[in-house]
Amino acid sequence: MNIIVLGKAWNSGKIIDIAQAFMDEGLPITGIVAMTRPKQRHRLKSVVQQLHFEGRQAILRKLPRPLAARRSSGAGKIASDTAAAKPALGPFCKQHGIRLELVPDLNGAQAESALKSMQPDLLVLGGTPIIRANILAIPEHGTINVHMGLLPKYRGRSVAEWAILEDAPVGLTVHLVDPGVDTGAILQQQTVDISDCATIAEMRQKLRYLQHRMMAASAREFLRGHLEPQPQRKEAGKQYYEMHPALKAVVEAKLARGYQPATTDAIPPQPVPTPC
Amino acid sequence: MVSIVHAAKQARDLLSARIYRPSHLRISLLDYLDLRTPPQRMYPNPTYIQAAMDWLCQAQDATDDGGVAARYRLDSGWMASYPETTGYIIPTFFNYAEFSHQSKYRARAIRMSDWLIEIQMESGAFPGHTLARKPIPRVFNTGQIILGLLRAYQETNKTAYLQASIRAGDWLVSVQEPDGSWLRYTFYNRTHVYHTCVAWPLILLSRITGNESYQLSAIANLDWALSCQTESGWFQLNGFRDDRLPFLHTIAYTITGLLESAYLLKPEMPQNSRYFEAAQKASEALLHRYEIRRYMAAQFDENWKSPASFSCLTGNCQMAYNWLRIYQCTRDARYLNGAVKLNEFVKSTQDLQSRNPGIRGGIKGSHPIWGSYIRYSYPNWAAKFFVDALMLEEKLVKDLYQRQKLHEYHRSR
Repeated sequence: MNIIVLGKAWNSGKIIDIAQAFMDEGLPITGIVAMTRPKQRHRLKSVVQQLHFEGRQAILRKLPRPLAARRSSGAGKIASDTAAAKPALGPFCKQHGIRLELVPDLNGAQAESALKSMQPDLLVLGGTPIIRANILAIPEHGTINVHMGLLPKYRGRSVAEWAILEDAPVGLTVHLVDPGVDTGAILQQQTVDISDCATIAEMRQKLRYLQHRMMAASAREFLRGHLEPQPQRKEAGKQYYEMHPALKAVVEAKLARGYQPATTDAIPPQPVPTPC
Repeated sequence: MVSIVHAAKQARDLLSARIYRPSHLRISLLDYLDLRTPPQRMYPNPTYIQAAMDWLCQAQDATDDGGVAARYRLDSGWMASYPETTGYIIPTFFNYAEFSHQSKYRARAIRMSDWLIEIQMESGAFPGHTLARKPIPRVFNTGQIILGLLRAYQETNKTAYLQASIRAGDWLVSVQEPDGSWLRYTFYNRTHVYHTCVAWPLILLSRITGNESYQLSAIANLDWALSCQTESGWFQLNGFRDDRLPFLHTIAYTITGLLESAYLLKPEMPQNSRYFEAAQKASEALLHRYEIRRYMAAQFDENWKSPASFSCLTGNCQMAYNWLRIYQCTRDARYLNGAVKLNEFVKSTQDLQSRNPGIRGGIKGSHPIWGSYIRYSYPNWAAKFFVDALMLEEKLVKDLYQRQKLHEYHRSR
């Protein structure tokens, strides 16, 4: 069984967490195709912009580790600590015998040819941009993704926050991927009780922990033929977008008060293994 | 070769914009490097609103007739008063007088209204362009001035404003085409779908006078506008000259006309109006494009794609206002979210530090300033729509926080 994870190289922690969750379910990952950060066209302009928008810490973070660590200021120390904390994809792949391909674009010709040579049975998305049909056509059994919201109602971004703003239940959905945004057939979903999460950060941490394990378990059942994909009705939901801090303040306040959804869906809440 | 010609043109434009003046050089450099105000360094909304209102007052004081100067141009400074935009700036001043509890803005609005009455043409029409040119009656401009005069009438009960509006409305009805569009006395003598913004004041005039004929004329135009909407929600015949690639400014005008007409025709449930549905269809498409690109382009083709590498700040403020109006009756917070982001973008381009009063607090036509919509200029209508959008955002976000009992969050914001 060839299972390949797609993701962003600069978000290696997420890719490694997904790979680990799959391996824990007895589904070995055979390859990782990761996208490298796009190169800046105007370097000087971008340095000036970063200094303006993010301050000098943004520049320090980009320095090589020894150089950043030599800085006597606190900012330099933070920069080097951040770099050290980032898990490295290369050593992880080497340790587990996983083939690693770094590509400039996950939808590009280089990614397509690398994936074709890997002959995947299943592709797993680990935080990618929209994947185009040419890539989705490659795997034998399809591509799966986990979404931090209950489909079909909440498609897109910041959906857990949007659900709270609209007094709806928060949950996770594992689905097959089609060329639309979160419109593929649903494999499994569950609501998550977040009444013990006092902030958005705590809620996201809880959902992040659960989602990769849920995706791995769903993938296993799907490959065994125990899960029947349920097509979505696109008109049953809306696409949501990144939430602005002005609205997030409302969500934070609701969480601080102990969030309980006003409406309930048909999906019963599942026991949650970890506390916030 | 093409790039040399392009660079030469850019250099010529920069020179004609008097780039050697420190305040002009500063704004050009900030735009070249795209150094906008970062969100963490932003002030509360009233600071930006006040700065834009101060700029509008400067624009009014730059002319001695009571009207508002059309724009501040980097090449030639303040222009003459512009009747059309002075017309729709009047409601903004009345609203701000209420918002800020300062009656001086009300007095300014009345001076604007008085000037407009003075320049009304024999036919009842109002002239296009500034008065520096030979007066030519214009449909769109007349419609916008009716909005101001009716508001002045509602605020002061002075019948001269109502009489002037009635004469203007009668003229508009008299020059309308049988299909509901306006062709004569229009910009470039073409039909424009954004004349929905003429239908809206006609409905308002009908409501105030009880004369049905204005409303019938307006509905004929709105129905004609709907016939120009494509499957994707885009509108044909909606540009100044280039209908294939209209500016966001005219697209937003069309949407505003449809929305405000729906609000007037069905005050209880505007969202049940077909005009509202058409406006929402276009607005949803724009919201999607904006959120996906995280940038609002200045022009859109029939597939809502844009080759433009600049933003039309006037259109941004208008769209933010439209999204807020949609949120007001649908309670779909995605529109509120988009509007807050779009307003934040425009705020980040507003220069509060410049020593040049033509720049400080004003809103550029385009970002960067050399973008092809009102280039190297600060138009008064950009500042007007900016104030409108921010005042409405303040109200709606405050309402949302109050509904959630979030007074402390509103203060911290």
